[in-house]
Amino acid sequence: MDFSLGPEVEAFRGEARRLFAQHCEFRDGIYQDCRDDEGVLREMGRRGWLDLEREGSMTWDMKMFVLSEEAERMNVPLKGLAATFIVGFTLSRVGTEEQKQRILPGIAAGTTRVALGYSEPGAGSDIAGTKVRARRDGDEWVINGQKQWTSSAEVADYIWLLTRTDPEAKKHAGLTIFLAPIDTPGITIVPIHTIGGQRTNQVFFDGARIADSWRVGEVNGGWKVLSTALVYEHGGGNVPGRSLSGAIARILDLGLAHVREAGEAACANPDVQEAFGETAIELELTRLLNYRATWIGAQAEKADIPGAVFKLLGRQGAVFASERLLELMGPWGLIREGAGGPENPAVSAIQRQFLATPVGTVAGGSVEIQRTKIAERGLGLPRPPRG
Amino acid sequence: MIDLSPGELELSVLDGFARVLRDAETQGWRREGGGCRLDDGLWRRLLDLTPVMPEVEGQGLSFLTLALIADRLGAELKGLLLIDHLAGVRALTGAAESGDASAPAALRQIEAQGGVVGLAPRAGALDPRTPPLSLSGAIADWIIVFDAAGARFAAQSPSRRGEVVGNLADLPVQVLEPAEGWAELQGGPAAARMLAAEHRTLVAAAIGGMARRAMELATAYAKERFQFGQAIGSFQAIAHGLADAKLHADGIELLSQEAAWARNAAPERFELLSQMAFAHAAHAGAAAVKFAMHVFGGYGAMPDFPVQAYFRTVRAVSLAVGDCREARRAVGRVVIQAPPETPFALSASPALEVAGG
Repeated sequence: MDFSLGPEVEAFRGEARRLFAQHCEFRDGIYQDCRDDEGVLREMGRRGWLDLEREGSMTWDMKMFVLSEEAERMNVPLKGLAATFIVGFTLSRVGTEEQKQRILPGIAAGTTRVALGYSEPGAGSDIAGTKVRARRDGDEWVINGQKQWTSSAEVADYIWLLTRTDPEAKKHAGLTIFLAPIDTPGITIVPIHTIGGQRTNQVFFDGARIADSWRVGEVNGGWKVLSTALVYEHGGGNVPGRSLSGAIARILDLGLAHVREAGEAACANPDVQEAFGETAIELELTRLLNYRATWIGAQAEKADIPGAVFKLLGRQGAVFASERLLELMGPWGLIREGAGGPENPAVSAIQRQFLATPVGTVAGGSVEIQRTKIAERGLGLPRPPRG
Repeated sequence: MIDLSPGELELSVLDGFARVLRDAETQGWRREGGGCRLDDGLWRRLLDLTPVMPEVEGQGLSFLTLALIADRLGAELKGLLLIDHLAGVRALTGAAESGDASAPAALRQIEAQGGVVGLAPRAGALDPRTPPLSLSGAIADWIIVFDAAGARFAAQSPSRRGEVVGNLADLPVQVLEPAEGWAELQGGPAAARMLAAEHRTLVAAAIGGMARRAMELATAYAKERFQFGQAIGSFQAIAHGLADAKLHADGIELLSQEAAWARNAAPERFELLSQMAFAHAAHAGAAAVKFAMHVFGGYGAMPDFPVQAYFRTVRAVSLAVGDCREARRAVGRVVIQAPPETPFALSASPALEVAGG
């Protein structure tokens, strides 16, 4: 058994840090907002870090793990990259040659991004309940309806769109997936701003016409395509992008910046020490569970359950960590940044994490969905009756 | 590079343990009259499977293998006394290699007679107001008491052998008495800290096994127990609680294995990881077994249903080893005291050399 990442991956971590540091300002003991996310992505592409063909290799997976962890910790959003890779991997398996040639080189170069169009106002965890309608019209499809929580649509070039093509068929049987250019006439993006400062979107389709060549998989075969994509979203491998351990590490860093500034008495406080200890344990556990899911995935075994266990712990861990460390800030923790009160960058940043992390427990398969998956597929417990 | 599969040697050893534990009729000791005595047959079989030292010469089992064994002992709730014994023998061996005058004789006697070493952590320097406990003191031939300041050892007094006190778990617990004849273990605080770290890690691994087995028992019961016309495992309140119990068990297993791996492969992180493993095991293990017992309803509290034994034993071994809040604080101190230029203090990777630049 071996719990080390190995010298190649650790060296890569250093490379990633140096690249991100060129685009991030380190001030007041913390990394500030990244100045040039697009530039980072292009540089990653130039260096060959976004090569989709390396998928499945343990070394590549772990490199993507450390890359994502460092990016999250250093506040580099890599906006849309995770969704882009989920689509890229799926497309490389089930897409047509034409689709692959049009999309994959741009992904590898860091110049093409894709947003996931699954959720709708009435279809969240139950994504097969999608109602966005696609009707065939000759060689085109006409799309009508609304998607919700379409993160990164504002920077995406395409939307990976789950539609209903046969309303008469059973729920899972009448679905089709398209890869729609986001600038197609009839597609309108409306921002949604969260309390944590994140932007997501509603995307409206009003008679948008998509060529049949953008259809992925068979007509009404969307669930099969979706299932492939969900393996990447929920499975063991590491798609580059958001990192749960990176989020906890950032919160830990922010707390450290504050407590060190607060002085020796704060550092010696047993409650403070316990809060940092607990957060550090959550960070270590999140990493270990990620390693395990990745390792199992690399053995060509199904890693959806280890993936679910990892996501359940990491998503909750980020919330707990931000709550715990905000608590340590005392009354300072309630002051909003730029609202006329005394400013403390580390406290403000922890407060932003406190407001932002709860979204993680619902995005990309809620923690309840992860628990259900663990219980039913992992432990073999019976399913409750479902409609 | 990450590789989480046990090697052939480990698998072979674990297979041997599975057979011995399956056939064991006791937990390793028996009550007899008003006292207790060792189950010699089981003890001999366990020792035969566990050549401990010298690891460096390739004749013994690695510390990581010992942690895997501890997991199995915890899962079966049998032979738990082997955990303290293994950690104790390693400490005595280390002391003997460092020139300790008394340890070699103790080791010879232990080896020749199949003697049992018991541990008394949280020794409090043998303070008569807080006498130390040993989980296997009643059947031990040698006892090591230790705390952060150091470790001492002595042969068990024949008059006290078999003298057991009732306790939360079914363990041959003995309350030690301040006595003459305790010898300082060579190595001082450093040796004591290593013993404590190894002991914490093995106990954490055992708690991981307990949590996993309790979760498995509850899962099986949730499939066969019907209420409102359905298996109770189909209710989300039960299913999600069991999913959390699995999360706890998996986390304890991985963290204790990582700590055990670090003992030789990343020694600079070993003590920290052992604190993490114990703190998490004590807390998450208790949560997992508590929910597992809850799934059984009232039956869970009946002695006939084994799940309650896991509930009791997780707490008992945790209390004996240490204070999980203090373990978290110890981790926190390491994090806080790390140099400011390495905010990512827990990374196994190099310092954040780019910070500020």
